[in-house]
Amino acid sequence: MVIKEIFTPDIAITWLPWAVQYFFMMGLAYASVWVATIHLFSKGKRDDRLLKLCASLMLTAGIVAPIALLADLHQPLRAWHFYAQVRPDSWMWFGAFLLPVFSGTSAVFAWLLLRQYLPNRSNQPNQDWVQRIASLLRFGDWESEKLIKIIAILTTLSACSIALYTGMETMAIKARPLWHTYWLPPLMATSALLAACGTLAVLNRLLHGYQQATQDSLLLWIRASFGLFALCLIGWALFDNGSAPEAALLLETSPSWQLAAIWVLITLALLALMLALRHLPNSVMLIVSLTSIHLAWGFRWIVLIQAQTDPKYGAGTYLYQLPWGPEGLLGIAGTFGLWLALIALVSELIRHTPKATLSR
Amino acid sequence: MDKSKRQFLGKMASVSVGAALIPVVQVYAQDNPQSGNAGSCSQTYNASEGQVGKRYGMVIDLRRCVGCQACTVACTIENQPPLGQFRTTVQQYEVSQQDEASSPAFLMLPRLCNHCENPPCIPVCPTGATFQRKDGIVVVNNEWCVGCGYCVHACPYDARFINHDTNTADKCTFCAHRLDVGLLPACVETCVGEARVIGDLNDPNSQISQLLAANSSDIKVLKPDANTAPRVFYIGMSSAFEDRISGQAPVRTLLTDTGEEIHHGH
Repeated sequence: MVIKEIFTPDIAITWLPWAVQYFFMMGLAYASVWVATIHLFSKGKRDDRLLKLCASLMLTAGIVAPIALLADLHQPLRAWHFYAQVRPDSWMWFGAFLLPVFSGTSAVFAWLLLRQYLPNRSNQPNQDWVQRIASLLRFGDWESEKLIKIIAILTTLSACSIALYTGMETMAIKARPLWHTYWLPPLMATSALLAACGTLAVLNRLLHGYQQATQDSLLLWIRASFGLFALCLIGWALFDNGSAPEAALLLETSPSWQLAAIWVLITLALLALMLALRHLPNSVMLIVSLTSIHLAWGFRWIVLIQAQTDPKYGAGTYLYQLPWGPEGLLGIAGTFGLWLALIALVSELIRHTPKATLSR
Repeated sequence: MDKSKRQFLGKMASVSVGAALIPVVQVYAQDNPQSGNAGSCSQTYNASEGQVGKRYGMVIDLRRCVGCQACTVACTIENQPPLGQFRTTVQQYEVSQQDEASSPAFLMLPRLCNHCENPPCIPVCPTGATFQRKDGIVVVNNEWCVGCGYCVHACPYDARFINHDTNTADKCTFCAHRLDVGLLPACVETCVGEARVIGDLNDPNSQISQLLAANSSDIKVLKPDANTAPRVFYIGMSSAFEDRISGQAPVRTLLTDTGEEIHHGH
């Protein structure tokens, strides 16, 4: 029997590019918490530069992500409705509670890590207004070292809960076979780690005080997270029996999915080739970092936006064209713009160099 | 003028005034979200409770559907979804055998919310805005919905959408507001072939129960393996249409703001 669709409606996407921005920014935030905590608890010389970058990233991305999430709600002012009843069957409802906990713990963790870089009011009499604000944010001259490890553990638990809920929230949707795979949460988490390490490496280069040792350890992190992501991807392609066959079906028929597959393969191959080099020149390291970010963002785009063009009942794929406005390109640019502004603000506040670091 | 004639004319006048007011009342009913959307309480019935003891379902006899889209139009007029969004449509397919000699047949497939017994859209809702009435009708309280779109994803039938006017989830309600006052849903009322039959599945004497019993060997639902237990039944549907269609997609087009068509690649 040969079936041709003659007349079927086209269905618009429901989760907008804001969702990609939320998953991406949240990934940067929770993965930088992981990197900071693992570094804090590992033996060897403490890399203050790495911790400083992690703190800046978890703070800024942790602020931008919930804003993007609110924008993805079609009724953002009704967000309080999440808290007005008990909905234990909905992963999204759990997320509404886990998210503010993460925002709080990650902000405290970042603040404790960054406090030492905020100027002390008494030490410097000739402060400009930025330094005066920064010194106020220090909230007194006390040692935060004791608290850091406890907060680090709490924040890491919270970060794991965010990685779990964002992955499961998507995975739980049986009606979208592309999403309904246990490989999705680990793919999301490992690509988030890859993107966070790439962003940290770019920040190390971008912000004043570049450290080669930090860049070297970040390269290790990128190698490890890329390896994990690639393993998960191979595992999904070989062992998944719902989502992977659906992707194969789309590959057969849809030019846009063929293009996406070519892009994924080329990006993976390029990254693998560059990471296989024993010594990476600084310029190649920068390309590796940017490609890592690009891969993780593009992966989220394919999973969250392009997957919505896969019909649940009909043949072929639905149409999607990126709009220019807030529901499209402007939303994407705006989110990144806000993040850039925040990272600039944070870097401005923490330009003070503590004496302890100088004497080391 | 004698008294009886004066009374007669007076009554005629009040009838004509009443008739003139009908459109105003209808417009008011459409403008007032409480009467159009179940989930809010009105003075005459409890829309969120539903009709206790009944279980509404629909049978669609594909042998009787000619694909005229009168149901699509009637639903659109009744429920006023935004342009390009539909609570029900009739999808059309060309079906042919492998050999080229036989001429193709056409299948008209009316689609709407299946008001499942096990609706996957409800548990995912983070605010409880979407729920099932006691008569089985799945509704959305659009004053409580946050527009997260999670239910739209969870529905395996693409029956839900985010209404571009209200920015909340929207779907077929079996015209619950009409059923509750003893009217048929707009799509059923308008169907020229009487292909759509709605009724109480709990009542063995209802037309729908009898139709289901009489055609028990030819009753199908969409995605029977999805564990949703749909309550929209089809008579005369090939099993090739039960699950996701394996076929050739149509040329889809998009309209730009200026009305220009953007064609898709396939």
